[in-house]
Amino acid sequence: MTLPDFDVLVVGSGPAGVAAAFPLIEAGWRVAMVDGGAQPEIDVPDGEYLGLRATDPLQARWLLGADLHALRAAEASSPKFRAATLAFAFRDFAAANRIVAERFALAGSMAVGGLSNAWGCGVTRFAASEWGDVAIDARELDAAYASVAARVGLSGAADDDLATFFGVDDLARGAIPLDRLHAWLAGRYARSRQAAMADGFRMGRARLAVLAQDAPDGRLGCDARGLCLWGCPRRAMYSSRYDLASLRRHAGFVHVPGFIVERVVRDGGAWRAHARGPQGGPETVAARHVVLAAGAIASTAIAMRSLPGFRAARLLHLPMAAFALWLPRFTAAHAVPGPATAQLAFTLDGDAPQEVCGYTFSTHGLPMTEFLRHAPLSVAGAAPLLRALLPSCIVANCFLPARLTRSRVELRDDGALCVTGGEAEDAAEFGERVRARLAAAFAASGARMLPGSFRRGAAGADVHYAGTMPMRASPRPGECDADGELSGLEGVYAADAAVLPTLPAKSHTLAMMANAHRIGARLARRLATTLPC
Amino acid sequence: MRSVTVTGATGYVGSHFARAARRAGWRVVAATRHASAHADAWVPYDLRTPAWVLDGEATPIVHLAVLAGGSDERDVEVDAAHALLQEARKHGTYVLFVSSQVARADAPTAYGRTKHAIEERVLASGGIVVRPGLVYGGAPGGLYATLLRAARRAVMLPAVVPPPCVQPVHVDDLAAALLRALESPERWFGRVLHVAEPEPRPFSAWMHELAATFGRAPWCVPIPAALVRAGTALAASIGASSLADRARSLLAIPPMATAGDLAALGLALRSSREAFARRAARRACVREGAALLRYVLGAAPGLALVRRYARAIEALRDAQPLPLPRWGLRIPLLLRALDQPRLRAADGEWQWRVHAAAAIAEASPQGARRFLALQGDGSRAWRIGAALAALPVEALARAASLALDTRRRRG
Repeated sequence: MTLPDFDVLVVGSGPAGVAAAFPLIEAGWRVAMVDGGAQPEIDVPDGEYLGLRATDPLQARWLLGADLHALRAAEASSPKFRAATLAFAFRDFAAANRIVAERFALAGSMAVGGLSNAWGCGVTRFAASEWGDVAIDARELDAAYASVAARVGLSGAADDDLATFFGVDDLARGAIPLDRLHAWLAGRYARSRQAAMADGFRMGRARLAVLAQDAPDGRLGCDARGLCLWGCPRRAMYSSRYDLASLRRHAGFVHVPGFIVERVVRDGGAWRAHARGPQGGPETVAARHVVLAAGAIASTAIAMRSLPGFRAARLLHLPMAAFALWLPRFTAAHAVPGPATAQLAFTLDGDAPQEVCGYTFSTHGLPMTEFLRHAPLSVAGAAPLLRALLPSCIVANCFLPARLTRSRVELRDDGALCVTGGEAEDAAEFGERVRARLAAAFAASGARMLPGSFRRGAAGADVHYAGTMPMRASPRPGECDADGELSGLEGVYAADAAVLPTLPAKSHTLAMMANAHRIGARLARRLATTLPC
Repeated sequence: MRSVTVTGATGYVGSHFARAARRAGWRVVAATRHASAHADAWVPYDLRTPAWVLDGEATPIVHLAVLAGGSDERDVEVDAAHALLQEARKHGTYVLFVSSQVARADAPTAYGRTKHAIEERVLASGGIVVRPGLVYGGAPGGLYATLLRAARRAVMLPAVVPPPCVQPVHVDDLAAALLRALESPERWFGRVLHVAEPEPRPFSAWMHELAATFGRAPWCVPIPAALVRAGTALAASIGASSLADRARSLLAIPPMATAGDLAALGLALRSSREAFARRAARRACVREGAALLRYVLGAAPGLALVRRYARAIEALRDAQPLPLPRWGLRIPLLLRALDQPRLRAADGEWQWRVHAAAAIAEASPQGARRFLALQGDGSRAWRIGAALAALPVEALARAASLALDTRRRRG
């Protein structure tokens, strides 16, 4: 392939890559964006979940997949990995990027739009302290948040106990209505919140990258059809895939799908990326600057292969747990249509304030098989029990602090990146304390934690990977400066979660996008002041 | 587009051949009494009242039609073949005649002698003769259907002494051989092609394998060959049954040397042993799926679900059925005793199958009614009742599972 040379090569079309590309494109620079190129294979059905389940004779097509994807992924750690409509978003990641995982549930994406095709849509703003020791201009970052949020479309703003924790209500619309279980739970919490907060527990609306109303760009607002696990046919849930159309409207933008970057090599005054092309053969492309946004782990693999001496790094991620809550008064109610994205959120103070964060979901948008697999009963015994119980249950996930992890990435001699999962000695004990405190806190709001339902996930199952090339005030090789530029690879930037200096237990995507936008904007200004080579 | 006219295209070999020919890009004209679903065009044709089959188009004729009736009508078949050959000559084309392994001038049966008479005429006209061995597989038909019925039902199988031997050929392999011959006919004009497994095998052993595909193991009862001859002669004398004739011809099968012809055609045949093993495994997977799905759903599963389960086992579990106890297959609700946490944990594969069955069952409107509390589908009180009623049964199943587990540990 003979690509023209570019001012900037952006590696990855996920939320970080797209966020970094917009300011560059708008400043008039020529940008090439490359990615794995995978596209959705199965349409998400058009209809309401329960109605489709009751009547769609072809529901196996999206529930299981024509290739029985859901059964192939039977051992995977999250229902998302079993959703046939999302198979394209996770397929081939490790093999294509030459990444091996040990004791680590690795996920990544070769899809156009990356992991934003399959994310939970949680959004928060990072507090100033969460940017570590780098000096970041607050006004610049705020402008980036505003710009990104306008494109993404946020909802969930509410005057509640988590408004400060999420910090995005100035950018978000009101919330999508709660279903009846969550409305009841929120009501009960409101009556006992003083006591709950005294115990370090707070609850409020989930702030989400989900459109509450139709947007001018053709995306439609959430209508609570409950197919959120499989993907939204209305495009209410943000995916950076949707932004490629507006990027393409700029003459200076080229999107090259199926171009998998292996390493970057200095080539005169520019950088040349060596990649595997759409036909599987070696390809290269030259650009003055490179922005790595392939996802923290894949970006780190590229950087380590390109920078001699950069062989290992700490990997931050969030240990995860999940549990089920029972609201007895709704026992044996019938299932009611409703949204299947997060509805309420909660935080728990630990050694530090709001050190644990989680979301609650309706059970109705999940296949019952997801629960059967955990029931200590026969399927025939569990099915009628769950049918009576599940409509009165909600499920919750929660993220524990990254300090409990001891995971690492290391480049092997053969060029493969090895991700090794690990956790601190006190992780299990910490998890048990969280379980007990959450059980008590929810009980005070009328929700019983189902015994045995609290389960900690495998290392990596959270898919919140970050911090391998952190921004530092004085970066060492393999770390970034405040502009995202990699020390040791001048002219190569990282824009995804690899640059986050800390990983608080909260949804980091929006903060990562704002930071990527800021990095893109700074690079655009820098390009204007340097001569083309 | 290449065309071929097929007499007997609605028969056992004919329908498989027509499908294969169309897949290979041939336009198939069926010359049959009734229209064929597997052909592109239809010309009415009856062996008893032969009429022109070539509709102004000089296509090769694959001649498969036979009379279903008795042996006293053999002249009809010969005359019909004669008419076909004349028509082919007039149009400058040829006939490919599918004969039989038993075709001989001095064959002990009329069936074999008739085939031989037709063969002679076809070869004299420069046509092609294909002699298949014992044709089996695919959708049941012809002699294979009769043998399948016997294999499924028979409590005992006659093991004739000395054992007559057969050389099986899968119906799809035969169709492929016919297509190969049609692709370069000039190589085969005036020749007899022998298509069957090269090694003759005792018929009774072959039947035993066929019976095993139904999970059956009938007894083999030795019977002297002379007795069979006498019996079938008797049958022929009272009922003029062509089947008796063909059964008798089984006793007099001359071995065929097929390796040379198969090599010349460039064909590798599947072995019937492998084909039967696959058939048996597939059948066992279907049975397993039917039982597991019935257990999971608490009601008879739709056919599509059972098929999907069998397909899942083929695609993801190497087509290996589980050795489930017979009582579980017969009365699926008893599987509840096996589907208990301790026994599931002891056998990861079993656990996988139960979950696969649950996932497959759930992904259907039938499963949605079982697993979801849909509005209008039972009252709140009914759902609570059903959940509570499940508990004592679960306790029984748990007790049974403990007994089974103890036995498993001892065994």
